[in-house]
Parts: sequence; structure tokens; C-alpha cells
Amino acid sequence: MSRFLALGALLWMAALHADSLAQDFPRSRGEVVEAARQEGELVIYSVLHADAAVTDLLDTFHRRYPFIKVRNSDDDGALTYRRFRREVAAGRPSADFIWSSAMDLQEKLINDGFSLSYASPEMPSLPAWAHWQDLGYGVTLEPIAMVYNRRFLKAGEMPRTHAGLRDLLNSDTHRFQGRVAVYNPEKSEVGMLLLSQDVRVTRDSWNLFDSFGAVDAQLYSTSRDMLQHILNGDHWIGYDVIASYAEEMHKAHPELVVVYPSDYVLLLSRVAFVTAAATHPNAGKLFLDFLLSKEGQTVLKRHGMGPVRNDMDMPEQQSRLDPVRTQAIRIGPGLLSGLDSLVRAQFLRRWQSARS
Amino acid sequence: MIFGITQPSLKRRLLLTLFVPLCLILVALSFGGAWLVRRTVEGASDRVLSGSLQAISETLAMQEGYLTLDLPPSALGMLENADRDNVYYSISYRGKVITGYSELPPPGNLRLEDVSFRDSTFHGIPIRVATEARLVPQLDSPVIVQVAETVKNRTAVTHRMLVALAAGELFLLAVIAALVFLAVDWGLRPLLMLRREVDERNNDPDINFAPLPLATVPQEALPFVSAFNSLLGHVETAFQTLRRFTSDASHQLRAPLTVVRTHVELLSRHSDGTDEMKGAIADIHNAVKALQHLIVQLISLAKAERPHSNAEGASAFDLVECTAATARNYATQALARDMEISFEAGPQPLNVSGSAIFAGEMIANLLDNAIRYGHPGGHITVRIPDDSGVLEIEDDGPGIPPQDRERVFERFYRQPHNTDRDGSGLGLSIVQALGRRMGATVRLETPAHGRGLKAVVQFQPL
Repeated sequence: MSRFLALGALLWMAALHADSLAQDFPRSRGEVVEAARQEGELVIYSVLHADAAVTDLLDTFHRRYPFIKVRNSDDDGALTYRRFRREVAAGRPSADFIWSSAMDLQEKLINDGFSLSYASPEMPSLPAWAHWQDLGYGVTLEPIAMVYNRRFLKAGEMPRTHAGLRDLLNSDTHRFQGRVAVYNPEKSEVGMLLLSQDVRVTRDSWNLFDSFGAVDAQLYSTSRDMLQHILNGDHWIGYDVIASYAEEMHKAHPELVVVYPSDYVLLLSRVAFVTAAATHPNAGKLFLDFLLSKEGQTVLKRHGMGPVRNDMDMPEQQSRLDPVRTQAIRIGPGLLSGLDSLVRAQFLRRWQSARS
Repeated sequence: MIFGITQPSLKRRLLLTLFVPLCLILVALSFGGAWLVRRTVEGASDRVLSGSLQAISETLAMQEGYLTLDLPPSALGMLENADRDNVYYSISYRGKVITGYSELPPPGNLRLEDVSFRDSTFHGIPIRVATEARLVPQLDSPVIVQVAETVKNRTAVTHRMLVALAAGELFLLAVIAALVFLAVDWGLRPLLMLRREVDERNNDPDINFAPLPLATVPQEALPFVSAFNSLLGHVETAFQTLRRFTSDASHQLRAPLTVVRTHVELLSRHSDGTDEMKGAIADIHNAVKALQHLIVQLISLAKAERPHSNAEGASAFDLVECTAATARNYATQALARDMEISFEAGPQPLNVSGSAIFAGEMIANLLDNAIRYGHPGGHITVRIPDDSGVLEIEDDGPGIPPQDRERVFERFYRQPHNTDRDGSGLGLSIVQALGRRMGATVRLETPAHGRGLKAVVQFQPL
């Protein structure tokens, strides 16, 4: 009898042990902080184009963890992606933490195994679509909006829907010649993402893009450039602008008006993760937790970037958005399709034909 | 012996005979289960992979001279799982990857319109690849679509199922072991009842040779109990024959012995022979007297042991009166050996259960022993200390060593140093047999002053 028991116990323990190996035990908060203190440094690649927000964020983070020296470099999404892959391929030290609005590139990095699996303690407060497993986290929730300059458009003239904008442009292509600013999908990753998401939502978007071609819309790489030119009066209408920048600018320049379309509003998330090859992974984890925490989200909200947490409200101007009409771009392998070269080539061919 | 215990055990044997084949079956089941689990998990995961593959390949088309693809996000999204598997795909034409991951090159020869699966690696990490070759109109050679995923989820699911299987098997073993224990205990319970029955008979004053009841005996034990019953029958026949023989022989011996004794007494009275002759006649007389005593005792023993001869055992009698009367009868016999009998009892009568005749016989035998084996000039105390039905007869003779106190109740047992005395060796057997008839017990102790023997009889108070 005792032999059977011993054998049984052995099998049982082996089974338990094997099972426990399959799970990674989360380290306690204190250990992470202590390890980050040892690392003492943090390298961040961000795609934010908002100096005030960056400074504010890093200052707050520094007050909380004064022993971590942060080096932040802000750049274009595609450039950041290429730089990171180049550095990792060459075995050179690279970013510990990347966050970018180029969701599809971030997703590709995650899928290709460049992200460190880390279950943030803030995870329970996040909506399910805002994180992919524990590999990538959406840290903001930013509506994509249209903007116009009130100096050039009559009150009530600016439409509230995508179809309305098409009709407006088609009604007088001569008047709007060169007056519309949109992203350049060939140069901007975010632009490519947003314009192809428009097409995913409705094929009618091609009709709108055809109208852009008819009025010879001007192409830009960043929302910031678009907004600047609309403010200058070079253009009157901006399409698929990241609303957080627009709202920031609206505070100082009330003539710049943000319009959230009533048919559907795309919601963009900035995707963040700690890199698998990080030299300072624990500092990276702390920064990720900080961004997702109420404190970090409050800083982001102050600069117009909608908080992603379930327990926080959107900024005031965006709080009227009808949740049924919003189309959040879901983080996950589905984003990879937007990077496919055939799909891109096809999109760009159609885009070109709309332009000509 | 494996377990180091020599007494055979039903439980152990059952466990052994059950566990060895059961373990073999479980091992076979584990292997079979592992194979089945792997196949099932692989089949299910491959189906999703194949679904993803076809969702992609179906959108391949030629449009204005270009190969176009509408890669639906759900095609890759459906491969998402909790184990963070990575997803890779590639689309190749004429042996060259035209989109997707270039690390996923097309395999060699492929059959058309047929999804095939293979295991491979991607940067050293194991992956599962689904491949389909599809002919697109306007293109002369097939376009090869491949979708791959890492196998973390498959491994984890397989692992979980195998652990569950192993846990289930261990649980089964434990349950069977517990059931064997319960079943053996339950199965043997009728035998336990039988044992209780036999125990009760052991304590019964009359030996009961009636066959054990077979109604509750389990079939498997029936041959054994039947054999035991037939043995009981044999023993009873032999016992009754022996008892009848003793009784009959004693009665038959009594008549001629009386004749012999009468004539010897006559001879001794009228003899005028030599002293030698007179001595011989006295010897014969003594021997005949002893023989007569023995026969009387044998008859009284046979009477005492005869089952259910009458109902006198149930009636009551005055122990004080009975004891006093018997003691009086032995006063002369005691005086002959210079011994003194003292009687200590309360003035009130003490009624106990039993028969005065049997009790008198018991007390007589005990007094006879005390006088016969006590010191000449010694003292015998007969005592009824209280009204609990206890009678004590105490002498200051040589006593009986404690290790012999059980054996002296056996018939004809005599202590080695007493064999030269006249005595039958039946006295205490008679006392015990009579006592049983009345529900009284007899035990031998050492008196308080440390010398001699104290016989304690416990009668049943009313």
C-alpha cells in the first residue's frame, strides 16, 4: 500500500510542479521598485509630438521615482520603428519602453516578440480591447475628428458627417481647391492606419477620398502640421486629425473648431510596452504602471489625451461622444493586416487614382 | 512477503489483485489519453489555423493586372489566444515571398486547393504552419499562402488536459482503495455477527452445540460455516457419549463398591487375624472409602453439568442459613484434624439467586478442600462480609501459587505436591460447574494476611 501511495504522491507532485512551471509568478511591487532603483535609468522612445505633455509626464514620474534618470526621444512612428529594429538587430542597446500612436507598427513589434510580457497591476481597470494579453497596452483613448477654421467657413456650413463633408466638397470643388488638409498615407504610418480604418468602417470612404482628390487636398505627415496650416489660413478643413492636439490648440485659438462626426468616430490608442531586450526592464515596468495609473492618466487627460481607464471620464469636450458611434481600433494581431505590402499597395493604388 | 506482515489479509490481497492490473490499465489509459489529447488539441487548433488561412486566401484576386489581397483583421485576430501565441503569414508566388514574413518561405511541391499542415521553426521557436496553394485566375502558377502560429497555446492546453487526466487517475486509485476497505469490512460483517454468537456461547454456563445460524452467512463463507457446524455436531455426540458413559459407569460402580465396603467392614469387625492382616483390611477400607468419594463426586459433577435438568437455578435461597448449616456439618471433620472453623456473617438472612442444594454442595466442596489441604491445627474462616452476595472461605494452609489458580478448576488436575493425598481432583470443577448453573462465579485469591488460600464465590444478588 505504502508503495502505491509513494508512487501516487510522486506523480501528483510532478504534475503540480509541471503545472506551476507553465505560469510565471508576478514579482511583488517592492521588488520591481528596488530593481528599478538598481537600474537607475530609463530609455523611452515616444511618438507624441507634444513637448508640454512629455515634460509634464516626465516631471510627475520623476517626482515619484527620483532615482530613475529618464532619457526620452520623440520621433515619427515609422522612424522610431525602424530605428528600434535596426538597433536590436545590431545588438546595440535600444529603448526600454516604446509608446506610439502607430498602433499597427507597435502590434507588429509585439507579434514579432519584441515586447516583454508584463501583467501590470493596473490591468483590471482597463477595458479588454485596450491591451493585448500582457504584451501591449493602450494608454490613451483619442478620438479622430475633423477640424475647420471658423474664419473661412460660415456658421452651420461645416457638416457633422463624413458623407456631409463629401457633399460639401463636391458642391463647390472650385471654392475648396487646396483648402483641405489630410494625412499622407504614403509618408505617415498613423495616416495610413486612420485612412484604411475609414475604409474598413465603410467603403463609402473612397467617395470622400475621391472628393479630396477633386479639391486637391494637401497631404501632411502629422496632425500638428495640419493644424498649424489650418490655423494659418492655408487650409480651412482638416480631416482625420487626432483630437487631443486640436483641443490643445483650440484653447489658445478658439477659431479652430473641432468636429466629432456623428456617424462614427475612430478611437485611437497609443500602444505602449516594455521591450523584451530592455536594459532597464523594471524601470520600464514602473513607467508603464505610471502611465496606466490614475496619476499618469490624469496628466495625459490634462493634455487632451483621453484616459483609457474604466474608472475615469473622457475630457470635457469629448464626453458627449455616443459610445455606440465610436470605433475603437482594437489592439491585436488583426492590426497586422494594415501592414501587409499587398494590402498597402492596393490601398495606395486606389488612393493615387482618387488623387488624379 | 512484500509488506513484512505474515498474517494474510483480505484487504491486502484484494488491493494487490486490483491495483496491479488497474495500474497497468491506467498506464495504458494515460498513453492512450495522451495520444488522444494531442490529436484532439492539434485537430482543433489546426482547424482554426486552416480557417484563418482560407479567410486570407479567398480574398486573393487579380485586379487591373495586380495581385490584390484583402487581409481581413479577423483572419489574423481569430488566432489570438490567452497564451500569447505569435502569428505569422506569407504569400508567395513562383517561389518568392511577395508579402508577409519573408522568414516563412514556401515549401517545395504542393497539391492544389488543399490545406496542408507542418511543424517548423521561426527564428528557432517551434511553429505550426498551414499552407495552401491556390490558383488565381490570370496567373499561370499557383499562389502559395501560409499562416503560422507559435505552439504555446497547444502545449499549454495539452499540458492542462494531461494534468487533469493524471489527477483523475490518481483520484480513481484512491477511491478504489477506499472502496476495497469499505467493501471488505461490509462483506465480513455477517462473520462478525457469527463471532459474537460464538462469544456469547463461550460465556454460556451450558455448552451450546446447536449449529450456527446460516441465514446471514455470506455465500462465500457458507462451506466453512457448514463444515464448522458439522464439526460442532460431532463434538456434541462425542461429548454426550462421554458424559453418559461417566454417569453410567459411576452408577454401575457404586453398587458393587457398596458390597465390597460392607464386607470389608464386616471383615474388620469380626477379624481375629494377625496385625498384618488387620492393617491390610484397614488399607482396603480406606481405599474403598476414597473410591466411593470419587464416585459420589463424579455423579454430582455429571448432575451439575447436565443441561437444563430442572429449573431450580432460578429460585432463591438464604445464603447465611445455607452456609451456616453446611459449615456445621464439617465441624467434626475439621476437629478430626485439629482445625477450627469460624463463621462471620450478619444476623439478617441474605437471599441470593440459585438453589440451596447446589450452593450447599459448592460450600461443602470448598470446605472439604480447606480441611483436606489446610495445615493440621490451622484455622478456616467462612465469611459473608456484606449483603452483595459474596462468600469467602479462607484457610491458612499452603495455598495455590497464582499461576496454577486457573488450572485447578480443570477436572482431575492436581497440584504435583498433592498427588500423595487422597482426593479426586474434581472438587473445584464441581464448584465451578454448580456455580455456572446459578450464575455464580468462583475465583481464588491470596488472603489479606498473605498465607493460605481464599476462595471467593460471587452469588447473583436478587
